[in-house]
Amino acid sequence: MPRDIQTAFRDAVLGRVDPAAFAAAHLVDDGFDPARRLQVHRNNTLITLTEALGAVFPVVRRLVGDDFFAFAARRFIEGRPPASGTLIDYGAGFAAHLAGLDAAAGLPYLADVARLEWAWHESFHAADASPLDPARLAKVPQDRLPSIRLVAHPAVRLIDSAWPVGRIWTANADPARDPDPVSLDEGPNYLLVLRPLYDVRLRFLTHAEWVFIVNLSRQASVGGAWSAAIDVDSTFELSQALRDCLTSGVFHGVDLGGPFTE
Amino acid sequence: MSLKTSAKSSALVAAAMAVGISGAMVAPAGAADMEKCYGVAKAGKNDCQTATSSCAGTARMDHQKDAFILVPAGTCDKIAGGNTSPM
Amino acid sequence: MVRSSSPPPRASLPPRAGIGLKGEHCQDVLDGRPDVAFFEIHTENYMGDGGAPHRCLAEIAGLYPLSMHGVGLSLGSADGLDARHLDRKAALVEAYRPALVSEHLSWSVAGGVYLNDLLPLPYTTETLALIADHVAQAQDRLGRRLLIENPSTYLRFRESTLPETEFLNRLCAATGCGLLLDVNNVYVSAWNHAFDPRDYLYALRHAPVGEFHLAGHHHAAVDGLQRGLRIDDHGSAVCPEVWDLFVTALALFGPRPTLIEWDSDLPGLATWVGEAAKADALLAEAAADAA
Repeated sequence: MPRDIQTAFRDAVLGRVDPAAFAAAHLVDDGFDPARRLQVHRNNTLITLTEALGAVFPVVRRLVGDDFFAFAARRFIEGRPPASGTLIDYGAGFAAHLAGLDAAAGLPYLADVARLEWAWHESFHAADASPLDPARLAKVPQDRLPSIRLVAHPAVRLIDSAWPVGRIWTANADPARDPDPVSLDEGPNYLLVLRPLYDVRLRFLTHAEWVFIVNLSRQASVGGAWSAAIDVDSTFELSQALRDCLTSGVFHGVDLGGPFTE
Repeated sequence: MSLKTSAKSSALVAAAMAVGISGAMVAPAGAADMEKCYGVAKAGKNDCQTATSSCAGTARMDHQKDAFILVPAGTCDKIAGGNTSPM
Repeated sequence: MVRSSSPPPRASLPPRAGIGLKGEHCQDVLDGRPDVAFFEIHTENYMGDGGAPHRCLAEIAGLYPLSMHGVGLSLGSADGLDARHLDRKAALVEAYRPALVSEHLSWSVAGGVYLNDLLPLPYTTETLALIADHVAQAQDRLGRRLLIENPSTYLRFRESTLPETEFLNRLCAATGCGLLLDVNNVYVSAWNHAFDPRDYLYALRHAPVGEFHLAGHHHAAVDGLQRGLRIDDHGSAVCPEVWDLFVTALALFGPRPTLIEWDSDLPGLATWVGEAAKADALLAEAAADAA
C-alpha cells in the first residue's frame, strides 16, 4: 500500500495525474477541499526546485526574467525531476533543456550561458586538490618532457561557445566590475573555469590555448596537445601557455610515463 | 611529417616547455591569475543554492496558477542585439 | 523484523540554544564567535566533494559542537533507503563527528524521483514497520542514534489508523531512536487540522525527546478556509503562540538542546542569535524549576 500511495502522490505533485482524483481517493475531507491541501506540497516542491535552479543559474534568470525562468524551470522539473536527494546534484540537464525550448529560441546564447553556470557550480563543489608544483616538472629530463601527461585539477571545467557567453556572464553576474555592454558580434568565447583553492575563477583563453588545455585534460601528451593547438593557430606560444597553466593551477598532477634517473 | 622533422619539432617542444616551466617557477604565485582572471563572488551564492536542500522542509503556498509565460522578459539591456527574434 | 540498535552514546550537547549555519554567515561567525551552544547544518548542503562549504564547516566544527539535520534520506520511502545517499551521509558523520544526527518522519522519493519536499506518511502499522526498519538500518550504518522530527502537516490520509503521536512513540520504542520535537511543527499541524497542540505534547513519551526545534511560519489566507493555513516556511521570528507552547514543552519534557531554525528571508546574524538568547532564558528557567 505505501508504494502505491507514494507513486500516486508523486504523480499528483508533478502534475502527471489529476491531484483532485488523488485527494478524493486518499485524503480526509474535513470541509476544506483536500486537493487544496495537496496543493501546498505541489507548490513547495516546484518553488524549492525552481529556487534551487535559480541559485545555480542566476545569470540565465537575469537574462530571461523571473517569470520566464519559472516557466522554463517548471517544464524542466516536470520533465526531468531530481534523481538525487541532494539539490547540489540538480540542474545538469538544464542547459540542454533550454536549448530545446522553443520559447527561448530568440536567445540563441542562453543554453551556453547555462552550460557556463553549471560548470561554475560543479567547480565550486569539486574536490580540493593542490595545484601541481612546477618544480616537479623541472626534474624531468628535457627530452622526456613532450611525452608527459598532465592531470587536470578536479575543479577545472572548459567551455566553448559560438557566442561571447563569458562576457555575457561577467557583465550580468557583476555589472559593477564589467559595466560595458556586450555585443554579440564579439564572437566566440573559449573559457576556463578553475578553482585552485576556494574561489571559482573564469579565464578567457585564445582558441589555441583552449584546445591545448582540452587535449591535456583528456590525457593527451603535452607534445600531442601542442600539435592540436598549432593546427588551430600556428603562432601558438607553448612556453607561455604552459607557464600560465602552471601559475594559475590548471593541473593537479603529472604522469611521467615511467621512471627516469635524475 | 618525416621522422627528422618530427624529432626536430619534439626538440622544439621540449625546449619551449623548459622555458615555460622555469618561467612558472620564478613567477610570483598567482601572477597569471592577476592578469587574466575574473574572480567573482557569484551573486546569491548562499546556502539555499549551493545546497539548496536548505529549502526542503519549508513549505510555502503561492497563488500562482500554472501560468505559461512564453516571452523572455529579462535584463538583456547589457547585450546589444540580445534577443534575435523579430520584435 | 525490526532490530533494536543502541549505538554508543557520545558527548552530549548542553540544554541550550543553537542556530543554523548558513554559508553567508560563515565569516561573521568566525570573526564574532557568537555565544550559541551549537550550529546545526542541513547535511545535504555539504554533500559536495570540497570547496568553500567544507572549509567553512571544518572551521566552525573546530569552535562549536555540530548537529547534522538531514532533509533527504527519505526514511519513509516504500522503495527502501537510497544506499548512495546514506553513504554520503555516513562520510559526513565520520568526518565532522556531530553531537546530534537527525532526520524527518517523511518521505521524498518514489520510483527514483526525488521531490525534495518532506512529504507525509499515512500512519498505519504497515508504514510503522517500514520506517522502523529504515531507521534501524540507518542507525546501524551510521553507528549513531538518530533523532526523528515530527512533521508539519497540511493534509491527512484516509488510510491512517494511528495518531501521529502514537506512531512516533512506537517508532522510538521499536528502534531506540529519539524524538526531535519541533514545537513550531506541532503548532502548525494543530492549526491546520484544528486540534489543541497541548494535547499532542501530552500524548508523547518523555524519554525519547532529545532536541527541540523552534521556527517562524507563515499564516496564509486561503479561500474556502476562514482560519487560513499555517505554512512552515522558516522565514520569520518565532511567534508568541509557539514560545508559549515551548514553555509547556519545557515543563513536560525538561530542557533539551534547542535550535532556532531560519531558512528563508534570512535575518542578520545578530537577530538570529537574539532569538537563541530568548530560548536560552526559557531553558534556564526550566532548568531552575527542575532543580
